Amino acid sequence: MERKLFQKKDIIIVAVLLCVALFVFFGIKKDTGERAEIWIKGELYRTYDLNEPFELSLDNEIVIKGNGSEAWFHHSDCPDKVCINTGKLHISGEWAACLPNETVLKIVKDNGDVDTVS
Amino acid sequence: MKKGFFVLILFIALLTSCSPAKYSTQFYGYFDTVISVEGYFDSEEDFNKACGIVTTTLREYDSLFDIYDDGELKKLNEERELVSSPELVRAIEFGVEAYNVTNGYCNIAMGNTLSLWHDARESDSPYLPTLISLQEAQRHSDISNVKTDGERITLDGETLIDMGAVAKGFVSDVLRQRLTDAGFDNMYVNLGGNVVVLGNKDGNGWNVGIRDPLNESGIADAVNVNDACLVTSGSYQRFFEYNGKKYHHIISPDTLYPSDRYLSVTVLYENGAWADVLSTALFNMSIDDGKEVLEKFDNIGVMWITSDNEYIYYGTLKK
Repeated sequence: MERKLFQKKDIIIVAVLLCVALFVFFGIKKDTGERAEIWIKGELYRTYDLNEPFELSLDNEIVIKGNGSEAWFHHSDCPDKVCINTGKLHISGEWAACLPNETVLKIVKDNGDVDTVS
Repeated sequence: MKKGFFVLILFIALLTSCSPAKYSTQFYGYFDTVISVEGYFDSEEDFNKACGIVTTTLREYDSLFDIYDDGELKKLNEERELVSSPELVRAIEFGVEAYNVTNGYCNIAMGNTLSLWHDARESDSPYLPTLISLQEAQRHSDISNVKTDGERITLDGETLIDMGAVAKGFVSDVLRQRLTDAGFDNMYVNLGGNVVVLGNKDGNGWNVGIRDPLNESGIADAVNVNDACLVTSGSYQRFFEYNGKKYHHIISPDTLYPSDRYLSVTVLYENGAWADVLSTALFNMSIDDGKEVLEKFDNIGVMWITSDNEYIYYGTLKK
């Protein structure tokens, strides 16, 4: 009896397994607990998970971006561009500031694996 | 083959639909504290909806409890009698119950005394209220001067109400109810130390740190919180300095000065209002007196950090 190498069922099973593998690969992101904090005029304006891409555009033409592992000042209307030249940040404690706009980008690792603090 | 593809597509759709993303935000503006909201949501739209519920609720209750700017409670304190919203009646009735349960160590009728401390703390050049003025103010703190009848609230004598020890806890239960009703079950709201947790973070539990009173950026301990509230009252939260000494905001009904037994008291309980009330009341009591009050509650956890930095655990927080 002639038998095909792959039958329909086999193809489906392989495809499903591939899907599961892809999901496991992309679906599980490592949460290192690191965040990018954006402070404006001394107040915490927004916090992003450093492990997720983000883009924040502010009124004064400041654009802050994150690519899932690093965060940086992408654009600013300030004259000196010190903020942009600080480069991409990823280590907790690192920060970049745009002083003319009183805007600070800070990488924080909140108390290890704690979600929030009481 | 067609059927196979259909199953496959369904499978992929299922896989992608059950992976909500984590969203978080922090803002300032209500209850004079930093608010953070974080959780797993199916879409940014959902997250914004949850944040909308949080801000609307906080705005509503902030204007209910405010006694310094323009709240309904301020009006009651001024007019002495008020046909008020059912929410304020409910909150004040709870405040009276809290007084009874805590043997007076959480007293919403201490408004006169607390306002002396508030004015001293908020002044451009902070000062100490005199003991005589505090004792005079405390004469008006009799809880029986606070009366409710249907929607009418009456204040006898010169009693003033201050809901400071109740407000955030009370609103956190409203938040839980409204967020749950809207279908959110995997998030938390942190109202400057009052943490309301919904759900269990997909079985992992939300890990909530308890601030180390002696090291602002460190934590003293961490607690796994599921569908409950963790509230900390700390001497480091609101204070002013006078002649090199710190004076915080939790005023003992016994001494009329800031209580100095503890650096912080944390309560873990399903009900946020009681957790808030107890964290304040226990802060003003000895450990033994506190434990006597705690016997009225089931499934409650407490952590005291004493002024000599000793950690004492009770109930569900016991190691």
